[in-house]
Amino acid sequence: MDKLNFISSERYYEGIIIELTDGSVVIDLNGRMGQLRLPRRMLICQNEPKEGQRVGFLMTYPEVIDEEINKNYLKSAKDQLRKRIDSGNII
Amino acid sequence: MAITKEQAMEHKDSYAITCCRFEEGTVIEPSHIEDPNLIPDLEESGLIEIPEDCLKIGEVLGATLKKTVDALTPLTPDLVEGYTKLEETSREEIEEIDKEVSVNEDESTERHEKGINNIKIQIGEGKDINIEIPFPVITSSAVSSTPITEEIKGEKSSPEEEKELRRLTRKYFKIDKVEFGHETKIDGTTLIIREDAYKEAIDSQELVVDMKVDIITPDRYNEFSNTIMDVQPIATKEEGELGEGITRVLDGVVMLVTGTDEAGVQIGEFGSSEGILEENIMWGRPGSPEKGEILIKTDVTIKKGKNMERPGPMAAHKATDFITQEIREALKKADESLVVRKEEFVHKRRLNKKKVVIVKEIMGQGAMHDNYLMPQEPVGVLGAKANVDLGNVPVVVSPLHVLDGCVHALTCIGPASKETSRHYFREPLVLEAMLDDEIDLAAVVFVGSPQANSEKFYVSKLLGLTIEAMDVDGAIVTTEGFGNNHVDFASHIEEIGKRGIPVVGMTFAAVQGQLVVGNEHMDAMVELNKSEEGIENEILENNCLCQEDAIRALYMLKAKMAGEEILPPERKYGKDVILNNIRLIEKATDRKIELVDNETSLKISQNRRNEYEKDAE
Repeated sequence: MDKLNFISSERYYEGIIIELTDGSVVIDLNGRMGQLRLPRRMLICQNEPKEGQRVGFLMTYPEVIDEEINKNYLKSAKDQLRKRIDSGNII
Repeated sequence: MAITKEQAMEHKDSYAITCCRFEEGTVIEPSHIEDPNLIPDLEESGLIEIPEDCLKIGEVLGATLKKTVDALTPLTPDLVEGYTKLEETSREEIEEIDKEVSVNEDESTERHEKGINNIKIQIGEGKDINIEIPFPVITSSAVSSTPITEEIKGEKSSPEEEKELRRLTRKYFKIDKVEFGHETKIDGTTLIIREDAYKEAIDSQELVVDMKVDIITPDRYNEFSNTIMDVQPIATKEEGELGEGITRVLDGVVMLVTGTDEAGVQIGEFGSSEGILEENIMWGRPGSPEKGEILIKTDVTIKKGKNMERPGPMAAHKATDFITQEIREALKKADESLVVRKEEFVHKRRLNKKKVVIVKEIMGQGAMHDNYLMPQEPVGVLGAKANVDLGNVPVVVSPLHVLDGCVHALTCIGPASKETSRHYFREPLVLEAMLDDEIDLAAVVFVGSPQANSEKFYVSKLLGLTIEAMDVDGAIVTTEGFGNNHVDFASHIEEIGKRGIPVVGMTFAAVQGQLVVGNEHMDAMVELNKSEEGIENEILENNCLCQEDAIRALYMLKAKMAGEEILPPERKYGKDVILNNIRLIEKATDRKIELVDNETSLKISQNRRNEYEKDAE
């Protein structure tokens, strides 16, 4: 955390749940500002969550903290993303 | 924000800062003072700077303002008239304690009261805990998970105070070679697995489209693997039901469940640990493989898109268990002469000691956030029910059930903080608590963590009632991972605490998993983080509960049960508090506590290898 230059840049965001599975939740940020794909355990809800419900959260701007390229991580994350898109079933 | 009289009394030694603008001549009351809990935040954000001579709340109450002050002004002697100097009185208080206390340089204090057969330890620096342990613990303190048989024999307590409930024997069969053959059997120290068993395993599960069984010997630790969904011991009942009798266990070999869906998406894709095995496993944790063990790795492929639906991961586990079950059958037939060592676990109630219960929160949000409970075979599937299907309600088991594999874990969020099936099989907190003759471990309660808050509080309420009925003197609540499960974790602690039962919480929090909620009963918390950065670092089992954490939790509970005050934690995570606590427990009990390595030990070996390879080129 000490690597950040702008440590407390959290802003309030809102979004909509656009996909729910037994294990995951996908949140589309309002204003079509991107999507967040998270484990369901990261979502706090009063009752069973439903697609289309609004969520609110604080988020900071991500900062590049290391100029190094992590090739292995990059490859595996890209592969996973491609496979997920190819599977057609999940965003 | 003004404070009340009660708060002012509680915080009389905190700095006095005005909460609003006040005119000259105002007589200072609690309502003029800023809440001391906010001061560190205000200080950090640079809004206020506290001068050295700032007065304390206890000193300024009743005094008169000499000048008009703005909001958030630290009150110093030049601004206030008629304040009472608290220093003298508080020094007297300290001195009173000083008669029994010797203050160390590092602000930690230790107290010996030899006459009363007690040692009292006060651990300073923010997260202050007090420990009171009757003297005999020193003579019987060395505890480790292996020499259990001797430990139990060595106990001196008189028999009428102890009641033996259950006994569990583990017989270990050494395996140093695993190979494929025509029939699954154990031949000496070689385990032979039927080469086409996987075909039937695939057919047994509708959602499983393919499966490979691979034997990973230590020389293949540097190969790629899909995400590790579970690490499981291979064990079977020889006699008695789960939780008692005799269990046969294979030594030197474990099952590793891995898998993807047809499209190649990792099952339990969040925080998945796919990659080179040796770099992604924190070897030697209670829930991970030991270095040198042979891994029977199943690589299960399930139907496309089913990796995030509950039946998907379950099918992968069931298909793996098909293979394991065949090995179990072979293990049942193995010759008795092949037993290399035995371990004996006895669950005895120590009726004259403080009654303690362990509450383990397990995941129950769905998909891989689930657990099978109470199978027929250790860590099996047959006969078990998923805790999600049970409604996540509290389930009470004996400590021996836990050590006999009553949990088949499907649970996953980040690999570093997930508790695998093997973790429960070697659960360090249960082992420590069972061997601790200062307490009376009554039972272990599993409680699921559902998704929605409404259900969380429902489950929590039931847990409170369960614990109330047990009439315990203390409880330890643990949870794995982080996320919304901290909501019910906090609620469990509250439900127990509000019934007047001392309670200690254990979780990974550190930097990334900081608790989202808290309450007044969460004053004794044990941090499970081991990672350097305080984060989920995708290394299997890195941040899971280890023996060192179990020891800290038990001593913290003993301190709380003895009515000692536990001071608030530091504002930010740092491992100094942990190390300090460990040091003080070591000092008081004359017991060496081995601290486990973290991911840096892996990185070193990886770097070394790179260096070596470079040289080879």
